[in-house]
Amino acid sequence: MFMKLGKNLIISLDNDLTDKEWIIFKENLNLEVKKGKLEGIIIDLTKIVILDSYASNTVNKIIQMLKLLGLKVVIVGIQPEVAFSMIQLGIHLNDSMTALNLDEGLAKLKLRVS
Amino acid sequence: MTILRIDLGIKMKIKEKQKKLIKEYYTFYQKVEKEISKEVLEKIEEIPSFKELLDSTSTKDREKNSKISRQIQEDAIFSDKWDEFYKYQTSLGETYAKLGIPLVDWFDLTNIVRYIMIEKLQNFSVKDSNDLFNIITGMEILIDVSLVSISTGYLNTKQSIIQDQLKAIKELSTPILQVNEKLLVLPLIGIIDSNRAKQMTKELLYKIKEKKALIVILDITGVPIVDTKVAFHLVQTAKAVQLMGGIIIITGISPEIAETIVNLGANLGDIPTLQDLESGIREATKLLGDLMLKVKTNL
Repeated sequence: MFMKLGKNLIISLDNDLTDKEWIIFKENLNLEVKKGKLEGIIIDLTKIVILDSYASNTVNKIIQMLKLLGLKVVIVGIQPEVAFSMIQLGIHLNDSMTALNLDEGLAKLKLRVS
Repeated sequence: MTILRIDLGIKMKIKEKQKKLIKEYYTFYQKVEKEISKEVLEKIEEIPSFKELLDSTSTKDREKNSKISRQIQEDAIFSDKWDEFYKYQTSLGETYAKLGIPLVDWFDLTNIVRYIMIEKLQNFSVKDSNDLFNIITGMEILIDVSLVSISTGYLNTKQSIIQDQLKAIKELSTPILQVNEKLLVLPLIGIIDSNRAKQMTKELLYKIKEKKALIVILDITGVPIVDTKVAFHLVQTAKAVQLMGGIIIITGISPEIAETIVNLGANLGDIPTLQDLESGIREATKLLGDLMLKVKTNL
């Protein structure tokens, strides 16, 4: 799920995580961040087909937390149907940076980090 | 939506007893036909849509048509060829639907025939009250059968017209154009309701994914009204596009529309808006250029 690329951390989220798996994921993320020397985080949602309120809440909290740590966060790979249902349900991602795919996300991160 | 076509031959079966009643009615009708046909024609001309139809066909054609329909009717009643009768009446209904004659007018027409016939029956000395009953029942059955066939043809045709139009509307409602590699233009024409907004947003999102677009220009020159609801839909679309990493620019806002937006307090959020498509494309190209330049210098 975690992949380090230079000073950036790429997080790829799986579809349909259980509540328990979310907690484990958050712990692992904390460990990763504690290692330090990170500047940007990319959260890849390509695999996500349904983003329910619990998942979106958790993602939102993660984004907030990472921002507090002074990290740049980019959300990438939101699928059309997911984007559509998010708007329908009124779910927002705290005005985070978004990009279509990983490439674009990395490009955007480079712009902001410098 | 699928069209429900009704096949009359299977659905409608007239019982032998009813056929006898129709025969009885028709024999009576043939006796008084000459007397009432003039009266019926006069009344028919009072219905605007039928008058138009009668005026547009020549007397010769009209006589020919009525001869055909008479023949088919008599074949059905006396030689039991009902299938041809259904087919003929259904095709009549189809023709009327294409001509745009309201179905209600047909009920008016049959009512006229019904009342004139009943009037005639009262004046005509019928020996037996049983006969009278039989004649009226026969007439009612024949009218019902014709009306059902005509309505079926009528509705089937209308249904397929609606189907075609729905398809056309769907195709016309979301024309997405690709201007260059990262830029899409979506010119909107007509009123935007929530259904259309939903469909439009969905198609736009898929297109963005397919084309890997970065900027989308929504041109609303052809949208007559921009009220709070439309503004809401536009903001929703913009948010969805933003979730996929895109940027939306709205163009084609005329001074009048800008005024209504301000007066209504409609909220377009922080979507950048511009006057016309030309400046929109210029702005988008500039934005893209900036982005590309920044990426290059940073690599």
